[in-house]
Amino acid sequence: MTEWWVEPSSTGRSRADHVCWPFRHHDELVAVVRGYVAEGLAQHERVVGYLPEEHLPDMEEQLTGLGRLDQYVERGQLQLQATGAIARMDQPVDPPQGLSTLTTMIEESLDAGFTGLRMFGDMTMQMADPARRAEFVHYEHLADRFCLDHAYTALCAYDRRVLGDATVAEVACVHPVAHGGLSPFQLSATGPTDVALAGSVDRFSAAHLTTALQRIGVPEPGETLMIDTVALEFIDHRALLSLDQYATGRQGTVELLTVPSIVRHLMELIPLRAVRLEETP
Amino acid sequence: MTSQAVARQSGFAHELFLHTSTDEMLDFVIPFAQEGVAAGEPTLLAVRAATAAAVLNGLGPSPYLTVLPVIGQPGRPASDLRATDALLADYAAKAPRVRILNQEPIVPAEHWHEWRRLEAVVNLALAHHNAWGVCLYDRHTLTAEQANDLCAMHPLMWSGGQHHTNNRYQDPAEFISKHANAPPDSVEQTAPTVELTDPSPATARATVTGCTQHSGLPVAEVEGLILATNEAVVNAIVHGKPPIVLRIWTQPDQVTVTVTDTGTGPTDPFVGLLPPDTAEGRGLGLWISHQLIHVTHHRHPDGYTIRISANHGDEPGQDRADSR
Repeated sequence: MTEWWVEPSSTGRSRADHVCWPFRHHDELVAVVRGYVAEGLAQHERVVGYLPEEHLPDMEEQLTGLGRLDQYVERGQLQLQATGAIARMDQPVDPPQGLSTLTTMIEESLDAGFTGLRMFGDMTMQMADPARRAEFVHYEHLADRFCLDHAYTALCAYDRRVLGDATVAEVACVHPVAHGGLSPFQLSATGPTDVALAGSVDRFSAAHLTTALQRIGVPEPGETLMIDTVALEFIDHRALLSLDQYATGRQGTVELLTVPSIVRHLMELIPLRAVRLEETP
Repeated sequence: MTSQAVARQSGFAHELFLHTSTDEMLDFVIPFAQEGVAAGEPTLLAVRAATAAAVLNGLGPSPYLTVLPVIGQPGRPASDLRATDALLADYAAKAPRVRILNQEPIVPAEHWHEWRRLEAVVNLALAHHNAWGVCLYDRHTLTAEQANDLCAMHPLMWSGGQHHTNNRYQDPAEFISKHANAPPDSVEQTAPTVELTDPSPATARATVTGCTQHSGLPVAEVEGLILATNEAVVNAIVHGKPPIVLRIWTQPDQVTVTVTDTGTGPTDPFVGLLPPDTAEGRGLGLWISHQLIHVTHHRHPDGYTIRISANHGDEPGQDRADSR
């Protein structure tokens, strides 16, 4: 059974898609990128790829199989750059600056007559340093919100051999869709402040959910975080209690929207202080 | 013992009446209700329609008299206990004493094990209510063993036109400990439809989901089965010993799941029936499972097995797994 948030293909992407693509070998990433790039070029999007400097020549060589590649490069529709050009490892992760850069890039793409900006990037090193990890996950979530109302499509690639599956799952879970199903749940942006929770959260993933929410920074003290659970497949009482404890600790509340009936029953059976069902008018 | 003496008892006075005829039953129920109403005590009669009609015909309406549907769904003892506790708590806020009489359902043999655990634990779980609770059984619907079990679980009995202190009453914890092991379901003697060793909770959930698709089982039963299976596998991983074996039997009218590990299983004799004192306490997950679905426990020389069974409900019009 394939869940809709477990993405099997890098193609079929459209504006506002934000996909996480864990990979094991550079060749695997190249194969994924080829289809993704070709699709963007065909849709007259500007395609920009960020890769570790040492992999740039190989990627350029592999993409030469795409028709009219020289023309795409010449007119600035396809650009390959070193990851360091957009994410400098010698500086702290700066989400506002990152989004500002993206805004400029999209405006430039549209001004140049393209239909939008399609990016892909090997962001492995951003997650490799534990000290940067929390802030980078926060940035990924902000980028997810950014996708909602910009002419922007993104594919974020992470090397499983370098990071390990557990670390990849920490960032995969803040993408609406991810290849490989490394995270049992996905938290995606649904509006200015709220999120949707898809997949499953049980005893063994409850802490990962609260860690992801903490990194995202919600709910703010005194505020209510709305979580749409229409695609939530499963959550157990421990995960609900863990979420409750987390929200209480942040002096915020969590309101669950469109909960499955079993979750409604569970919530009647356990004492929750800060997690509640959507208030119906 | 007079009715007044029983009514004055503090705590929960748990009385059994095994009647052999409708007349005999009404000869008890109508005065029980009359005295309660006369004393201004909330008097709750959870009885079948015919009994309710006979009582109301003899007694007339009263603000102190409430007629309810029969309490008790065989297979959901923990849910019944929680509902009764909530009901008594609601009335306790309005009056110092409450009377409650339940015309017990006919309990199928496969549910008797959990039913007698319920009747035993009632003595502890409802002890904080100042209430007189009468369990009314039709003796003709009980086996001799079932009647003996009931006598062991009620400290008071009505017989020969009198209330008696029941000298056959047994300590609930000891009684439940003696009857901790549920008898196996005959389906367990057959080859399972699916057998998995050391499944992850996610794999267990997905497998049960697959086995219940197109089963026609009520959605609530399927959801309870998935949740309870998850809980059983998590507990086996965290508290039990490998190997953990998940077995599933799919039958036209029932899906049965067992989870076996080589550990000792839960040691609390009241497992599943009473919630832990705090939300962080052990046993909350099993208590939730017992609220939602039919669950039994069995210790054996090879370890411990928890069995979870989903059946077709009796309620018409409920959502079913193949109509989603």
